[in-house]
Amino acid sequence: MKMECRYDTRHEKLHRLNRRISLVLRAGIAVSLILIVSGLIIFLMSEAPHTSPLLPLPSLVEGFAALNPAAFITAGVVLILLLPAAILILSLAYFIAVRERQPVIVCIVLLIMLAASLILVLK
Amino acid sequence: MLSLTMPADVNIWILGGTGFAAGFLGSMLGVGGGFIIVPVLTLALGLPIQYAIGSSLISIVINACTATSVYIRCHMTNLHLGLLLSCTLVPGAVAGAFLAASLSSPVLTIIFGLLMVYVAYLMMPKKRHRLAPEQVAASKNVIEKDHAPHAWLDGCYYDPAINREIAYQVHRPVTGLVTSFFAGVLSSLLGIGGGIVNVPVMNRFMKVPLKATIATSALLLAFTTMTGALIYIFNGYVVPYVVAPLIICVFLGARLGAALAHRSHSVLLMWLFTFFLAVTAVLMILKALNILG
Repeated sequence: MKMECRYDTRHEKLHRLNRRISLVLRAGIAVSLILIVSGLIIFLMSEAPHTSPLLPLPSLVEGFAALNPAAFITAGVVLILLLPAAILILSLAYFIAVRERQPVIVCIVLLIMLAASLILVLK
Repeated sequence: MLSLTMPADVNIWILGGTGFAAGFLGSMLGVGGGFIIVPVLTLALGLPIQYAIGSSLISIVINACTATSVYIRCHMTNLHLGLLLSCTLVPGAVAGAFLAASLSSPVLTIIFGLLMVYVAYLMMPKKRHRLAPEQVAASKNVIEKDHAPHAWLDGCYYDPAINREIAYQVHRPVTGLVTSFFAGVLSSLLGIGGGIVNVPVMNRFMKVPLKATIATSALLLAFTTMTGALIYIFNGYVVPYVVAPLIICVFLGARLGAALAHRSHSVLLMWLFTFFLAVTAVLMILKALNILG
């Protein structure tokens, strides 16, 4: 599954960001999958009802302590949903560091759009 | 609420198979994969539509993140373009979600279905697919064009299928932004994945090569579906036992799909996308006409 990427002569700076984003995504997905697989195994071994919902975030710690499978799966799902935000924050930090004006503006606008959308839909 | 509407048992193998197929096709074509997950979960497993959509949205986020992790490592994703288009795609999707309640009309679905048939025709590879001249001589162009106002959107990647470095210029970014907004509206309004609109817009309007389009579309999907997925979670429409096997198998399918797309020839991907677009369009029209029930 490993891929060779030969293009690295130009845009080296941007490629460094690409690799960093890929690394963060892969790490996030790996941790999330470990949590979800663990939750599923506990689910299959226990007699928990198949219709139990995701846990609210404040109950996660208690859920972990009680080996509640829903707690593991909830943590994994939340982590997955944070990954797009991680891409955005990583990109913003990078573009600020290399002083690229247009991408910084775009990242800030997108951050505002996402936050506004979230607030709007949760209302 | 949950125990009243959810079936008592759900076949984990069907969930896994559905997730794998959705992940594979979704990452290979830059679409979400919801077009597979939602019908199987509702029709084959008997889940209420809200639970099916909630599970589907989370699956699309993992699909998009997995595909992006592969594509961006090979520099196929145009990060600048993806971030720019998301700025209008995200509000478009929210606007579409609000409009959905008042504007949901079979006529609209039929019109859009017919439009998709036309887009499928446009996406068909021509007699002999060649790289556009601006892509062949692109390295030179990118250097010469550095002064251009939107040169920062230009991209380049290595294509192993043709053993060549492809550099390209992004055309009509303003048109892309406006179209993205409407793509977002339509994706929420009609309950289709944004990729089905994003890919033709980027490829045909903005002249982005298909592989870069597919990769960038995956990034766009991550941003647009994240908000929707959160809404369904907060409303309690996500069940751990359903999403867990889905997520695991979507991940496996998405890894395989992205790896194959990276190595496949663009013409093959273009045919696949055209076929997929045409089938989805026909299904949408049949559903709007109540032929599919």
